[in-house]
Amino acid sequence: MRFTSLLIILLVSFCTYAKELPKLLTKQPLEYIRFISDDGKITYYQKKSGSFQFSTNYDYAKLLEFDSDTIFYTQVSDQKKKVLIEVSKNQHKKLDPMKNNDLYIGDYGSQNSPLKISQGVSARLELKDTWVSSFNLKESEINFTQISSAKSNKVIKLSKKNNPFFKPHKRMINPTDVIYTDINSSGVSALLFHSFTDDKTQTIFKSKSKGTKLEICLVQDSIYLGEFPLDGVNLGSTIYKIDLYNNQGFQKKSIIYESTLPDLGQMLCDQENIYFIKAREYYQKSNIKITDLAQINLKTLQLNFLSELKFVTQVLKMDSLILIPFRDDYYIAKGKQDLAASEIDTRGKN
Amino acid sequence: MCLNVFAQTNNQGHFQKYEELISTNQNEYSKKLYEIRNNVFDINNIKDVNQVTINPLFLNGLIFNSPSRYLLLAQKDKCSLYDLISTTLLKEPGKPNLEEIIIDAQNLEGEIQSYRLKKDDFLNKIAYKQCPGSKKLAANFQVTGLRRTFKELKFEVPNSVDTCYQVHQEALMDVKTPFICEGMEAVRLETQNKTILKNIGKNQSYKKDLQKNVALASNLTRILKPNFTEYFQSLCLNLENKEAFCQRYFDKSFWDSLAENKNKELLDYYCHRFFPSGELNEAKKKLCLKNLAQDNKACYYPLNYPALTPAPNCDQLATTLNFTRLNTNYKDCPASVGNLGIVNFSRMLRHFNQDITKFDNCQLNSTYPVAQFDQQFLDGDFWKTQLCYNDPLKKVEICYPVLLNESNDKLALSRLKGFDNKSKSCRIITSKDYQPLLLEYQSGCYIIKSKKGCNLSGCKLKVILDQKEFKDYKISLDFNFDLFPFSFSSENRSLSKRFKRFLKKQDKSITNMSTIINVFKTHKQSILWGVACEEDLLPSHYQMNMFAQCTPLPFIVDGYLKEKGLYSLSTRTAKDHIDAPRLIPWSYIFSGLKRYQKQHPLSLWGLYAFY
Repeated sequence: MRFTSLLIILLVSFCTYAKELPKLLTKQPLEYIRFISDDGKITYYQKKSGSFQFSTNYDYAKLLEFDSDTIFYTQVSDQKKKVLIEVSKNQHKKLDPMKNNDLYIGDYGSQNSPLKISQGVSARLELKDTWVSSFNLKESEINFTQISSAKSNKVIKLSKKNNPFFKPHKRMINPTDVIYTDINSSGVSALLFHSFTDDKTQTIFKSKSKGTKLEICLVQDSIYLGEFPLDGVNLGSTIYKIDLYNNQGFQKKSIIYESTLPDLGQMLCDQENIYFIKAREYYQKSNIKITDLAQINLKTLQLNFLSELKFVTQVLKMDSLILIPFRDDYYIAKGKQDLAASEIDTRGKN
Repeated sequence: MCLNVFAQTNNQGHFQKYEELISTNQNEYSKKLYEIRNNVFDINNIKDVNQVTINPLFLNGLIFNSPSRYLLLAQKDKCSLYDLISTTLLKEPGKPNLEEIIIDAQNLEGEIQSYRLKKDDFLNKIAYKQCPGSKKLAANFQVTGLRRTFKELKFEVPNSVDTCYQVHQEALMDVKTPFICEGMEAVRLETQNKTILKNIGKNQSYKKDLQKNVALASNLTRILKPNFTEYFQSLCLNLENKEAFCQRYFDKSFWDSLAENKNKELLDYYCHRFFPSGELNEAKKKLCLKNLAQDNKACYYPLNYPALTPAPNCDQLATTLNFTRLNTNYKDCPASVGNLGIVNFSRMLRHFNQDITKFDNCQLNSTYPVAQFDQQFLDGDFWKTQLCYNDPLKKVEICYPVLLNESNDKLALSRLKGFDNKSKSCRIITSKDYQPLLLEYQSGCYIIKSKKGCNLSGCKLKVILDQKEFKDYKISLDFNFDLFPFSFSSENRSLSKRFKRFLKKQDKSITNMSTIINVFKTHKQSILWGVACEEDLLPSHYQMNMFAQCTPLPFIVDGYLKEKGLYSLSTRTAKDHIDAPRLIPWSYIFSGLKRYQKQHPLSLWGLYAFY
């Protein structure tokens, strides 16, 4: 496709303003909810007392319990085989920037207690819920843990950074090959491929400039790589498509999106679309970005805005819902909107 | 198109008129092209080459289709227009580049005829005949002479507004400016041009221009220093707007003022990166400040000041540091402390009491004020980082508070059971420095920190006493506390409440911008102290992966800036270096406070002004 055509498409698409988005409404307070399935039949939630529970429309069970300053975060993948739980103990009292969370794994929809498998942050279910990737802040290591063996199987140690608070993005391609992002001592980001079979690392992409972050999605046999400037860095944004196979040295890359504005990124993908937070305007002096959720269709490469909230900073996926956390609400940018009808009752309340 | 939507709502009349003008010109231009389709240009059939002019309709088309900022460079005389035509900065109607020129010329029969000429033909047969200097000038900017020509260009950072406007005006009149801007555009659009080249198809003329620009960009990136490129890119993008071009230098007046600033730590933070060793003498200081003023990227990564990076660019920092009020006259290294609450609280303490002892050790600058506050007001009830031993006679564990980096720690160690008075000579060193084979290490007491360092989040120490390891102690790092109230029962034990009570400060809950403006105006020493979700405060650094994800991050706000009706706050999160404040939009902070409130057991609104 000609780049000029793409630009025209982008320009035209910018005008497709989103309608007012519905808010996510639930029977019990949103702050306790951690996951609701599309059909509203399964809900994971936490209680103020420090316990983590799940409920169906006919039953509920306590899965984990710690003291009251414990916060639980949950991830359920599209496979819906497992539920991954990050447990942040002493959430408000222990302000250690290198604090790891405890990582638990359980069977989706099961009343059995989840098992602790590792420690870290940015945990993610991988390879159809058979592995978990996470980042150990204290050791500066990326861990890949096979769920069936419930121990840390593979480790990539990152070097010392000039940003001590760096967290990498990572994805597993298969049980022996992974990709992850890293920064070097000068602040230049790179996307790396690591094979555990021969313990070799290869550079897929290296940023030309300092101060950018790289974000990744794996869709079918392609990597979608977003390069976005970090806060205070005056650079534009680019999203590349890189084929995983039949691509010697990952030389072949195509740009599917480019902007001179500093988008926020936060890339999220499904089989058809990339979602990310795009800047509509940037006021350089005050560092203010007017941002909204945008979507690029992977077939047509057409870009649409899905919101017009102006200060969107994050986007999330919960089952098939694409959600925008905004102030104390969650807006449904895409997906079914009638959860409230079947979601759990007041038994979840403290 | 989107532009239409805005035009209809905001400025319908003018926009339609402009659209009509372009459309009319386009129609007439097409008509003209059709009329002259059979006119064949032959230089031998032209009466006087010096009388040949560019067709006015074509010129209008150029004006409508090319970036207006560059047209200013053609105002001087016809040669300046020809110089501009010889670059790739102009576009003819309906095309992505300038391929052909339409000229009006008198033939030998005395008739005025219009002709279409390829750009190179026009330059060689007409333009360079009329303006021989233009040919030589263009040659200087060809690949072979590029390095020498650009090396000879000089630029000085303007030192006053008037000088800056003068520099801008001189650039508009300078014959070299079109060529410099051609180079800057090539560098700016390099990635885009490469992409277009891949998909260009059969448009040979445009292809040639793009190839020229890609080669030019590659050469210039190799030849030019980043600050040079940045300066000229800013000039070329702001040819129509001298204020915008000069604004960056007004903002950077902060760097000039830094030379006279008595805050040595601030100067060290910004200049150490250029001169990692040795004292900062006057010459080095001057060079450092020049670098900061000229290279916007120079502020991203400091040397050996562990904090969240990149810090904001120099322009933004210069703007922010001009109006901040937080006391920052001490060395700071948030990532080395191991507890963001301590980093944040010590900043509050040092802001309101500038007499607190300063240390060369940056960790200690954060831990000491808090430990001192604990001793002075809380009877040691708060500080939980301790060296402990079991007293077998009393059957209790005895602990002494330590800061993990100070002479007091040696004293604490000296009180441990089994430690004799030799402990007074304890030295705290790193494992790398400890050389047991050397004579000086063969007696005495050495507290050896592990390679990973030692902070409030983790510490592995080894105590060597006369070459034997002393093990009868343990370090307690159970350091959990409430920075802000966490429960009703312990509300008064939170540091924010104790800070207010013992230092006799007033506080005010902050929920909107009007209150912020009012507080800052009324109370000259006031600052805002808060805690919110880091995923909202620093979204470009932290992505939310899970529903309700909120990582509490304490911060201090000490100023604000308004642009286009929106506000940004000068903010130091506990992860940021104290000398590198960020401008965070009020909207982000508000969102972070709202989400933090949702997660907090008391639904705490986490932003207060203290004064």
